[in-house]
Amino acid sequence: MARFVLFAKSLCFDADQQVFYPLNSPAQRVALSPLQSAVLRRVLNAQGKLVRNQALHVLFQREPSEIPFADRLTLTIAEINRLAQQAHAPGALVHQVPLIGCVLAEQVDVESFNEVATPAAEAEKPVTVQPEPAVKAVAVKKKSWLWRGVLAGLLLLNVALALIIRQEFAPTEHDGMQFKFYGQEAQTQVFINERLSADSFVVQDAMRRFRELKPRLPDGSVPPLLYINRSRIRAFSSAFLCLQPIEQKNNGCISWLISNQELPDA
Amino acid sequence: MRKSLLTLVVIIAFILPWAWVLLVRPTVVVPEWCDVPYRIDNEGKPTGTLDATVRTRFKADGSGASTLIGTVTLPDRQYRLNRVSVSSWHRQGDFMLVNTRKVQAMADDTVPEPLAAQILFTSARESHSDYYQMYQLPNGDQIINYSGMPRLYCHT
Repeated sequence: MARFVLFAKSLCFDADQQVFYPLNSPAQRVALSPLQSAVLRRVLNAQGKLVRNQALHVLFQREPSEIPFADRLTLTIAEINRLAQQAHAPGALVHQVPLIGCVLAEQVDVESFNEVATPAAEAEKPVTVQPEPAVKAVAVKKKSWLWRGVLAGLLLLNVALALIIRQEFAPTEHDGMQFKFYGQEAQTQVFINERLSADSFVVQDAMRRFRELKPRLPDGSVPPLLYINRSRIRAFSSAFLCLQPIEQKNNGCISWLISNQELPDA
Repeated sequence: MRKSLLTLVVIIAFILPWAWVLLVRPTVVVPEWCDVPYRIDNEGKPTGTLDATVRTRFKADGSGASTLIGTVTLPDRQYRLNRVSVSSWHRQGDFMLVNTRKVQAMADDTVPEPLAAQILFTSARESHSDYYQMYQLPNGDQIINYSGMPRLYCHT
């Protein structure tokens, strides 16, 4: 996951896949050898400081060869610069300082593309052990972990809040069936909604209309049971006329509504 | 590119629970058959009584059909009511949205259209939407609750 963009973000170097590509045409890849990419990575990690030949020598020892180290180094650096040119780099990437080491070219600006620096990737490059960048990487990692923690916390909080809201708005109980006894009216037992008081307008009005209108069940009989509901608007009153107690199934209930105006559009 | 994708994922992760809460509300079962017998005594104009039963079938595919059969009694005369309506329905949490597509008056229906428009619930009028709550009673029946309107009793 180690990627760098160079030359004002025109060239990208992917250290894991060991390729160069122009940032605006990622398909145009130029492959580097493992040695070349290790050297380049080492130089990039030095952040413009001189990388001494001793440090580079360690990398070269991993791939033993007959050719003397000095020649190999010159060749490798020339090759890196040539490959960068192939990927449309505007100039040389690495300058060699003869007999001492090499350094990143001055016009190269490096920007790390490390979004997800996994511990594995971190462990993969013990070769480039150099105190300064290592410390820096750790600092960056700590910060991102902190942010990730905060983000995860916020996400959890968000989910918890949503669950609470869901519980709050969920219908828990309805007042459709909570009735209390009100009284006897001729052959009819009257019940009123538990939240209504006996002397409220709704109850008195419904009782007056029950006496006046004498509603019948569909079979023409006087309803033995009357349940008076709460009603939110005064244009209506709402009740159930029942043959059997409303709690039971097949209670023969019908809705009885009294309107004192034209039916409104619901 | 990666960063914006990640940001997008995080934003979606924040929105998702709320979308779930709003769209997937705890629901009560919708009965396939619902019989609502009702009587309306209208003291306003026109004075009269409407005795009717709405028998609705809520099919599982979201379509529905209902018949409205009854009588309308005015002081001077009586009408027969017999209409069939086709509708579509869906749940929105514990709410119910019913859209009446087509209403057909049967041959023996004698209620004049202007009167019908005045006295029938919107569920018996073409291209009307009704938004109401249905909640289940312990005995398995349901109560239908329009906002601000009287409750209706649905026998299942």
